[in-house]
Amino acid sequence: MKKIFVFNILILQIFAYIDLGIQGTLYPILENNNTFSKILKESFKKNKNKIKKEVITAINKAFRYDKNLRYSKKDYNITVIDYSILQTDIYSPYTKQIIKHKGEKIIVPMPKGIEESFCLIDGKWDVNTTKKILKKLNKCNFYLVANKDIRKWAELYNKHNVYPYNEKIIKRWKLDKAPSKVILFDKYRKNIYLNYYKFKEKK
Amino acid sequence: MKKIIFSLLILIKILLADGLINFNTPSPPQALIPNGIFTGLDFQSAYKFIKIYGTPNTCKVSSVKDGLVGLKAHLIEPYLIAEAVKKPFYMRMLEMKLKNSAALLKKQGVLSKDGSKYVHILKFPIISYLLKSSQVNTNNVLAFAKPSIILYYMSEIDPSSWKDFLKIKMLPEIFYSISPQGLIASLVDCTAATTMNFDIAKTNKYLQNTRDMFFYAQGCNGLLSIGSNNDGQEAPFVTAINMIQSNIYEMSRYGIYKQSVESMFNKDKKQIWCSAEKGAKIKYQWLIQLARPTKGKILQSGTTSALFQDLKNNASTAGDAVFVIWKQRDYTMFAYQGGD
Repeated sequence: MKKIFVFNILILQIFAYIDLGIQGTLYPILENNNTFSKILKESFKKNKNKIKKEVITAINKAFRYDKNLRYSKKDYNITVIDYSILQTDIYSPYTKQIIKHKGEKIIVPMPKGIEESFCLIDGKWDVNTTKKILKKLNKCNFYLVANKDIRKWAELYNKHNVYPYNEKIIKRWKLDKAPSKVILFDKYRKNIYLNYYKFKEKK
Repeated sequence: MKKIIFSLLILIKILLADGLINFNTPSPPQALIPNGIFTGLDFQSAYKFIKIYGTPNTCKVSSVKDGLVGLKAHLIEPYLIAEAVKKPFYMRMLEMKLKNSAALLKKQGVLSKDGSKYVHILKFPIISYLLKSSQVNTNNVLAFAKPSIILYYMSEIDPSSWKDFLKIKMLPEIFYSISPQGLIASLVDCTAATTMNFDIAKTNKYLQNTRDMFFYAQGCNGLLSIGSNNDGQEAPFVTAINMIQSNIYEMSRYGIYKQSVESMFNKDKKQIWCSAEKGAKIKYQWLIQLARPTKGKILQSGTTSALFQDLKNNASTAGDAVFVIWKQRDYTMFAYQGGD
């Protein structure tokens, strides 16, 4: 008797069911599209060692910059006003109009009483000539060395303030010969002057 | 006594079996190269960027008289891998320390104990590199960058990242970024960037222009001078992202990173759809994604989570972070002439 009663209720419940539609929010299920990454994974497995080697050589290259440098023939000094040229227009955030146009000169003043210098050196020279040149250059705040791994150069001459040849700096001050020394100082109140100095070692 | 020891042993055995006690040492950090490179990339967002517009375009070629005809298209690819590390000369992406290099820094006064402030930027266009080696030809259909690996930047051996006077001399635009004008610019830039993040693949010319206009502003990172390498104990990754941004600016100034997206800075250059060109920094073109220690989403620069607090529960990289910098490209499908 009991069984029939329960069975009746079940059947009634099935017929009483009304489709109320979608209740609440539905979230789409995102499946990862792995086809592209699968191709890459397979090719990566094959080239694992090759990539590692290439990355390591790229790192080692960063310490040594090879560049054919011209040698300076005479000792001479040039003193000029140092400026840099704007590469992009500068807009005002208030009006969105151009405040400074591309190609305009900007003079950046050095702080008063501060003098900074750096030197360009070729790593191809012998030990003796380099030592003589270093003496003649006197003190430089830091050295840019071309054609030699700076780690080896630093060990050889016991000078640690060494950086590899930096194309950005060389282009900025248009240094075209080695050895050369750039001294940045403030001579007058407003303008900055740059002392550009090259020399040739006597044989 | 024996009973107690016996019961304790059983208890430990049960706990071990359930995994409640773990005697194993934590697994060593997973290297970006060789293992985790594909898990770290946000391909799911990247798919959204692949678009083909209906408008046809012609690219002039010397061999063909009238030029090649194709359809305008757009894509994105991982172009640079940038990392911010605490130890000098430690490559987190490779889990490798460079030998005989730490001595260089001793006398330079460059060593620091706190904050991630050494930044390395490696050009590694992963997709084109691996597709080339798997001999899948995608030359004109999907115009990816040339497959080559170059270390573009290492803050340890770049004097301008340590000498303040050099930085100012090299980037005089710094003065615009740390002025009242810079503050307003960064606020506007932050608003534009966050709005663009809602639907990252959708293009909005007005917001794009706003981002490109204030190339010196650091978005939601605040009022920062471009490329300053100050110790930020609270937010060292902000410094890292700032340095990455300044590097992109400098490199595009010297024509190493090229323009590959149509922008307000290259309105007249229709050639941009046929090859990448030298020019100014286009901020909109570069997108940043955190790859390690946790996988982030592709976001506009200046809105990436850049605080230690976000990563404090994940010590797998000892506080170092690796970012993947994605590059967008406008090109003409079937007629693209190439360019980095």
